[in-house]
Formats: sequence, C-alpha cells, structure tokens
Amino acid sequence: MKIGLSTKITIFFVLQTLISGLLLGYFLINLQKSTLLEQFDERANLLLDSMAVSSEFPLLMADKTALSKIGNYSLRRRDVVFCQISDSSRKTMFKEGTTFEKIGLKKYTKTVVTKKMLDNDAEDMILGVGTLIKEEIGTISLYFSLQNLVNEQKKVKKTIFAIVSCSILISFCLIFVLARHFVTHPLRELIMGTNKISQGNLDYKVPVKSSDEIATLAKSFNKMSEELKKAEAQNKTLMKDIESYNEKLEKSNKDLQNFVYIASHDLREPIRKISAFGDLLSSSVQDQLDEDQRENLDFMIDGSERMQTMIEDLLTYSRVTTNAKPLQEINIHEIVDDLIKLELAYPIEESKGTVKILGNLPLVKADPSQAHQLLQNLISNGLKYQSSEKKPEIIISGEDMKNGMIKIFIKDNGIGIPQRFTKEIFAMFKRLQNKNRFKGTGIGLAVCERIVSRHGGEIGVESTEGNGSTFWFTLQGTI
Amino acid sequence: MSRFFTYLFIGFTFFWGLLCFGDDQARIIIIKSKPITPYNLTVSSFKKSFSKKYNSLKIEEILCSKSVQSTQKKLQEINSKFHTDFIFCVGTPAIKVSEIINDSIPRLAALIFSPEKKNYNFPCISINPSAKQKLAKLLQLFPKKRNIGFIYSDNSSADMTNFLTACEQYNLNPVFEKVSNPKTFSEKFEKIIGRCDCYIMFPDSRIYFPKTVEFLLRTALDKQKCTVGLSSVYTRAGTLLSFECDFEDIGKQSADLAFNMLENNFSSGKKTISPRKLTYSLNLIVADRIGVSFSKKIIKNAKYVVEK
Repeated sequence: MKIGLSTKITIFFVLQTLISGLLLGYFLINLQKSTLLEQFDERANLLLDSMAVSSEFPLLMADKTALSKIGNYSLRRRDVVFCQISDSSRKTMFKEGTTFEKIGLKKYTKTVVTKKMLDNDAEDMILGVGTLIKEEIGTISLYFSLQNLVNEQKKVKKTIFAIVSCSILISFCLIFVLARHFVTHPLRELIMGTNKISQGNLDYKVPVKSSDEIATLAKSFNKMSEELKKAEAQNKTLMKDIESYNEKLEKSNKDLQNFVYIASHDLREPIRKISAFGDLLSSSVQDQLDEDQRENLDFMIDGSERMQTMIEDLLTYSRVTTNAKPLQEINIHEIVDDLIKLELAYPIEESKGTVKILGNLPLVKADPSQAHQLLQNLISNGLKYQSSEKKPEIIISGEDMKNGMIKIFIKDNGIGIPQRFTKEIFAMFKRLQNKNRFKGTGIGLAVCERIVSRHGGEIGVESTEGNGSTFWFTLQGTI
Repeated sequence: MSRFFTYLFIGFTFFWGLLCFGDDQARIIIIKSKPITPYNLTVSSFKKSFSKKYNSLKIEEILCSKSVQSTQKKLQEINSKFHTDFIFCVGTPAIKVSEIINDSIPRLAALIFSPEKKNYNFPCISINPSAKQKLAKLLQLFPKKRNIGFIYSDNSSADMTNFLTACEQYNLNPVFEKVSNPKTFSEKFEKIIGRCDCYIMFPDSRIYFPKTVEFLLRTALDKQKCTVGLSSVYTRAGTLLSFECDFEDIGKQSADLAFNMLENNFSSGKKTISPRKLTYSLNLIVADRIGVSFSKKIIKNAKYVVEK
C-alpha cells in the first residue's frame, strides 16, 4: 500500500498528539483525582467542624436528644453512611448508620473541645481576662461512602478522554491539511517538474512560493534544470562530433578491411606463381646448380610458401567479418568428428596423437564455417605444440554456464604457455616459439579471438609451462 | 553665752520639729498583677491621690511576670535599695509576689476576689461589690422585679449565702438551684429561668464558661428575662446589665487606706473591705429585645452603655 508523505506526517503528529494527550490525560486525571479527594476531605472536615461546634454544648450537657438531631442531620448529608458521637469517657451518645459499603468507606474523626477557665480564677472571670483552657469533651466519627467520589472520578475521566479524543481528531485534520498545503503540494510540484525534465522539457521552472527547505530544494532544482539544459547543449555538440568521428572510423575500417582482403587476394596469385615456378625451376635446373645456389633457391621457394600461408591466414582473418554468415544451431560434436576424420586426420596420424570428446557436447548458436575454423585452429595447435617425447592427447569437453552460454574446453598435454603470455597470445602475429621449431604465422589464435568476439563470447587459456594448456571459449547456447 | 546657747537650742528644736512634723516623705512599692485597664486605672488613681498627701513620694512599680520567683527576686532587689515603707498589691498574683517581703512592712491589696475566704493578714479591698450593694442597685433600676434567680455550685455557695441574706433584707424572692455537675446546668437553668424576673450570675468558673454563658444568654433572650453579668465584659457579651466596682475609686480608696496605715499605724490585721462605689453597665440592644426600657437618667449614670 502506498502511503503519502502527508499521511506519514499526519500519522507521526497524531501519534505524538496521542502520546502527549495520553500523558496529559493521565496527569489531568491524577490531578483531578487528588483535587476531588481534597474537596471530599474539605467537605467532610467542614461537616465535622460544624458538627463539633453544634455538639459542643449538647456534649457538655450530655444532651442525647440534641446529639441525636445533629447525628441524624449529618446522615441526611450526601455520602455520610454512619455517624457516632461519643463523650470524653468514650461513652456512645449517638450511633446510627451502616459501616458496610461495596465501593469503600472513609472514616473521619473529630475531637470536640470546649474552652473553660481555670477553677478559682473568679477574679479574671470578673475582669474578663482569664486564660481559657481547652478540654476534650467528646469525639465525632463519620463514615463517608466513596461511591459518589468514584462516580465523579469516572465522569472526569470520560470528560478528559473526550477532550483528548477531540483534540487528536482536530489535530489530525489540521495537520493533514497543513501537511498537504506546506509539504506535499510543493513536493508534488517538484515531482511534476522532475517528470517534465525527464520528458525533455528543460524550460520548466518549479514555482517557489515560500522560503523554507522545500523552497530551497525547488530553487536548487531549477538551478539543476538550467545546468542540465547547458549540459544537453554541450552533449549535442559532442554527439555530433562523435557521430562524425564514427563515420570516419567506420569508413577507415572498411577501407582497411578492403585493403587487407584485396591485398591478400591479389597478392596470393603472384606468390603462388613464384612458388610454382620456383618448384619447376628447382626440379629443372637442380643438376646444374652448385650447393650454394641450390640452397638459395630453396630459401626462395620456402619464403614464397610461407608468404602464401601468411596470406591465406590473413585472408581467413579478414573473412571472419567479410564472409560472416548468420548464426544457426550447430553440433560441436559433429564438427569435431568431421575434423578428426578429414582436416585433422593427417596431423593426428603424423603426430600419433589422440583427440577425445568427453560426454555429449552441447548445441550452440554459431556460424558453422567459423565454428569449424575455431575448433580446427585450437585442436591443431594442441597437436602441433608438443614435445617430441610425448604423444599428443587432446580432450574436448563442454559445460552449460546457466547464463545461456556454453563453455567448450580443449585440453592438451603440450608444452604449455608461460603464465605471463596467456593474454598476449591472442594478438596478431604473436609467436612464443622459434619458427624453425614450430612453423606458423601467429595469426591462428587471433582468428580464434576474432571469431569468438563476433559471436559475443569470450576466449582464454589456463596453462602451466611444460604441463599442457586448456583453451576455452564461450558461445551462445541454443535455449 | 547662755543666751547664745538658749537661741541655739530654740533654733535646733524648731528645725527638728519642722523636720519631724514635715516628714511627708513616703517610699511605696506597687505590685501590679497584669497590665490590664482595670489595674492600670486603680494604680494611676492611687498614685494621683497619694501624691496629694505627700510632698515627697517615691514609688516603684513592679509588674508580675509569669514566673512568681523572678518577680519576687526583682522585688527583693528593689526593696534592698529602696527600703520601702509600704507595699500596695493590685490583684491576687501581686499578693503572692509580696509574700517574699517581711511582714513588718505594711501592705494593702486591692481588686481581690472574696478575700475573706483567704488567710491574708493585711487589709484587702474586694473586687466584687457585696450582695447587698448589688441588690440595692438592682431594686433602684427595677423596683418591680422581685424574683431573683441564681445558680450556684460548691465554689459559689458563700456568694449564694450572702445573696440569700440580702434578699431577705430587701424582701426579695430568691429562686435558686445548686449545680453539682456542670452537665446539669442547662437543665437547672431552664428550670429556674421561667420562675424568676431577673437572673444574677456569680463569678464561678465551675458553672460559667463560654458555652454555658452563651446558652444562658440565648435562653434568657428567648425567654425575655433580665440577666445581670459580672462586669461590663458580660454586658458587651449580651447580659442586660452588670454591676462592678469603680476601679478609679478603688485607687482613691486604697490611697486613703494606705495613708491612714502609714500615718496612724493602722492595724495591719486581716480585714475585707468592700468597694465604696458601685457602677453599672447597660446593653440597650438586649433591653430592646426583651422589652425593657431605661430612663435617660439611668442610662446617663451608667459607666458603660452598649448602644442600639
């Protein structure tokens, strides 16, 4: 459920009001309780005082009739349920009422005193200056029912509860309206401004109506939109520049690719002729040449052959993008089988190596010819870079990476690659071994990297020098 | 030469005679029980009267404090320097203080209640007028009132006896009740008030205290009966009238007595002297309530009047 800021503020303040209201209510109830109790005591003591005054003479005269009148009068008073008047010798002169009450009783006692002159003080009596002494002549005990007090306390509680409830309700309404007016409304205007800016209207200005924090925020917002406007203008200029550079770059790339393709394609024919005619020349004039001349001719033929291979490889590299075909579902397992039987049959046999496939390799989405090229390059590298003491063993396996990609591993038991070169080897013309020991152009792995990149995958190698290497690459899965 | 001695003798004798016959010097100590108006009036009146009798009068005045011993000590100190000729005690506490001084110094006491009951061996002027005085004055004021009511206790039985004697003398009909227990006062009072024309109070603290006096006054007012109080204090409180001595006159009376005692070696034996003059106070509000009217002369002669 979405709760608005004004609702939150209202809830917060209402809770605060509720807590303060409860505390205030508790305080007021206690105050009222003590005030009621004080008033109750005051009323009781007032009654007792007046009874003490009235019963002073009846007690002096042991007048039970008068005391009975006084006692009965007190019993007619509200709350008084029992009255007892005793003389100084604790003899009961009047006793009436009940001392049982459900709610409870409160007892009040008052000693009745009278003033007398000292005996034999007749002189002072005549002069009217004698010292009066107080003498206890009896006791009045009243029992008050607490029923009315409790009822009054209940009334007070109800009133206080009603006042607190009303104040909470009023504060709720007031805070809600104020929060909407002073907080939510300005914030909504800010939100509207944000939306307009996000829609591209950078000319929109949030109205600033006050001088509070929200107004400061609105000012900052307006300043930000102005800055955005400036930045957008700069971006547009930069975008134009970038587009222009991109166009130039694409044209340059295209020109370069055309150049590579044309160069390699056009160079292939003369080199092939050099190589073919070099071979013819070598076989026709072999007997007429001395040792040095024959060696020079062999260098020339060998150079032309290497040139031819390099051109072929460059052509292959450039075809990765120029002859690219749409991706389709292919079976890596079948490709590897074909390679073992056809293209790699001779190298495998020559090296006396083995190529194994672990389990069923998953299906991938790829350009079939480029996938063919990729696997051929990696397997032939495994067969080629091998020490003379060992027979090459290539193991191919696959793994579903659960992110829609398939990872293929080509593990060999070859010479391995030093750790520091594991990234460099995918660069064009990068060779780690002497070309006399292992023939090659240094383009094969660059082609692999280019193919994998074109398919949106990654390629890498994990290797320990002397203990073989495991090349891996990822391609899109079929699901 | 013999002539010279003769003149010298005559001259000496003449001056000696002058000294002896003109010895109108007196040193008096006045002991006052309380600093209250009646005592003050008596003392000032005494001093004024006494000073007229002596050219050279030295008076030392002592006010009794709460502690009798400390006042006695003070009295002794003063007497040792002053060598007093006479001691005048005002009020009973003053007599008690004076007991520290040797009996050989003559003394007089004034404003003492019923001195005849006490064993004083010097003259005392009573504070309360005699029953005879009171009844005589009452008859002057109310000639028709014949039934006089009294309530007495053991404390005031002597007063009762005096009044009965006086009633007999003036042919008045006493209506009286004895109160043994103060609790029966209201009953006894209600019993006699209907039968008497006028009720006279005794200075008896056993019977009369604020509540009983209040009851007495209220009942008498309800029954429209005359009440006679003990002093003007009671008249102010609500009795119709009160008889009391004239405090200034007691001062003069005391001065005369003292002079006689000093000049004529008046016997310092036991003697109770009644006040010479009787005054009365009236409450015209009460009179109005109970339907009593006084002549202008009576009102004029009253020492104190509570006006309507």
